[in-house]
Amino acid sequence: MYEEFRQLLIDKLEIDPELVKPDAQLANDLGINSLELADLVLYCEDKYDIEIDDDALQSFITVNDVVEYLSGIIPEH
Amino acid sequence: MKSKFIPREFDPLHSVKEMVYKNAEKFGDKPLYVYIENKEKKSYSYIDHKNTFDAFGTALFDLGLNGKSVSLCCDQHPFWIVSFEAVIAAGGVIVPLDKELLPDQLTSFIDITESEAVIVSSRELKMLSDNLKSLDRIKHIIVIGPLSEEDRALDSRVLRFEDLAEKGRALIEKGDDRFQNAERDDRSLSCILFTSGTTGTSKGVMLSEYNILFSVIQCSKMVTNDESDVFVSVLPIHHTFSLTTNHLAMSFIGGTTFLNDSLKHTFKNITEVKPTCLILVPLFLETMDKKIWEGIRKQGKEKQVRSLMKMSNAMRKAGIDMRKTLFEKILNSFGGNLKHIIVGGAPLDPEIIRDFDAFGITVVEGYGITECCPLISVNPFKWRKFGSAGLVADGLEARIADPADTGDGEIQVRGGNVFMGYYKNEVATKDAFTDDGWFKTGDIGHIDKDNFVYITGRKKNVIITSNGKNVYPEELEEYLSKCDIIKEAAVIGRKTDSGIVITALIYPDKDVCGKMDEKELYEKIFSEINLINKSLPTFKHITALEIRDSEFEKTTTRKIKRFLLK
Repeated sequence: MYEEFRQLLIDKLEIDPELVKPDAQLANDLGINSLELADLVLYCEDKYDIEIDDDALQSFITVNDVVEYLSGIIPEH
Repeated sequence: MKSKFIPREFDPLHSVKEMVYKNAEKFGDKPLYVYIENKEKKSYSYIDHKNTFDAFGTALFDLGLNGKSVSLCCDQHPFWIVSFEAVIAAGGVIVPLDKELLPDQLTSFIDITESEAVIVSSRELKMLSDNLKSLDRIKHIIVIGPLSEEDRALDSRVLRFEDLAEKGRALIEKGDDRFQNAERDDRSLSCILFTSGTTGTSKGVMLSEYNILFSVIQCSKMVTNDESDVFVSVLPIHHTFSLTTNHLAMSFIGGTTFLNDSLKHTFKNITEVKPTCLILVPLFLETMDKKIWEGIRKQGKEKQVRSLMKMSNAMRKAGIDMRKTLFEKILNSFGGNLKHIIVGGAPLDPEIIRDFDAFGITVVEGYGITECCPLISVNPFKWRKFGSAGLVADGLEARIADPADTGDGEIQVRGGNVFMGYYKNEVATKDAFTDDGWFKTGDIGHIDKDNFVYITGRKKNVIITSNGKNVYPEELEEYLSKCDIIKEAAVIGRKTDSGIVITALIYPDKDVCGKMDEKELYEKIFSEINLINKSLPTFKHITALEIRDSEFEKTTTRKIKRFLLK
């Protein structure tokens, strides 16, 4: 899951690959704002056919937070 | 110099009820709101609004809530506005609260405002149910939107908004006209808006019905939208910027507003709804601009688009406007009808305004403050000045106190939209006004010969993020100072390429950190910060840390010299 999400950050938001690490903070280290994160979450919802609660967005601080959340609701990951 | 802008004229409004009735009379079956509920698109007309307003207002009388304080905390919904307006029209005090606050914080606000009812959706009901049990003063918990039997069982005081409206309708049919005939003193307290944070650091801005209506007319005069306009509302409804400018003023001029159902769907909704105007904070424009250029770069067309922009700008000077054709694809990503974006809450990079202008969308900046409900100034659509926060709003006087050689000084204002004072805080109220009755905004700037405001600094410590949220450093410092490892803490908003980053500057307690190396110390303090962040709404998260090896420089009263912090 981590690799897939990492690639998504690089492809969709043009984040420098060297900066994307599991403990990188979405806002501070990668410069992702709440709206970009929401847009990314929508993309994940479509891609994996899942629904991510709006309130969950609030708890995503690091790359790992998102990866863990996605791994938890997408069984095959 | 003669003004290039003549504000529109409107008859004054004497009550919120008069506004709701007049709107229904003028705009009738036209949709006031379009919104999504249970994944279904619903339309709600001006007449529907008047009828629901009367019905719910009558129910408030029936419940004995007329003249009482009522807290309101949920996502945007037509019934949010009904609740706001009906509580005021029933002689009460409405307290709109931020749904992003934590249960304890919300409960404190409900408690100190002596609310006798709360209006929420099932999300907040679940979140608050344990806390509300301790609030004896609360007689009714009114739930807007879907309500399951399970949720209803959470508290015996739970009532469904729609059931109440239904009961109100039945009472009106039987001749109950208590609400329709109710009158109130329009200069008395009708609304309390909290500036931010916890009850300890937040101030309750007291507004009268007169303040609110004055502001509605003022916005309608300055922003020349009309009944052909369609909006997509994406900002939190409890903020005065969204509440007054979008929901109240744009309904007064007959607009239709689509209520965005989730931050996730913002771009999709904008494309589908095809708005003519958007009311936003800089974060949205910064993200939209970034997305546009990312798309252009991915197609390898950056050079080509920049040349087109230059050519188009030159053609416009010669009176030829080809932007609709040249930038059709970009304009279509906003639905194709978007003409104006009104932006406020925080300063916007002028480059972004120029980009949008070149594509064919006029962006105007405004300046407001909750204490002014909120409008102080806005650039009229046809008289914009780059770098300015706009022309001082009609009916408001603005002056610069003790200007320096540069002309900059504190912006002070006086007028019908200026608040009554801070709730239960006489000291702060006294401090907010000059001896001759002008409100001290705490913002530094100057005003040019045409009465346009330019903001250059800020007297208060508040950090304004690019999504227009106010973060008070004192609140975060209070939490940080409770950590053993931290001896002194200061919080600042540092400007970076990705916006304002809330940064903690920490002087550690050397007795506690002992022989930790630099990395260990950083990790230890950041783990404390993460614990604090988890208890706070996202917009308040501290995302950067800087450790100092010396104490902060202080004033004689032992306060940190903030102006030295960078």
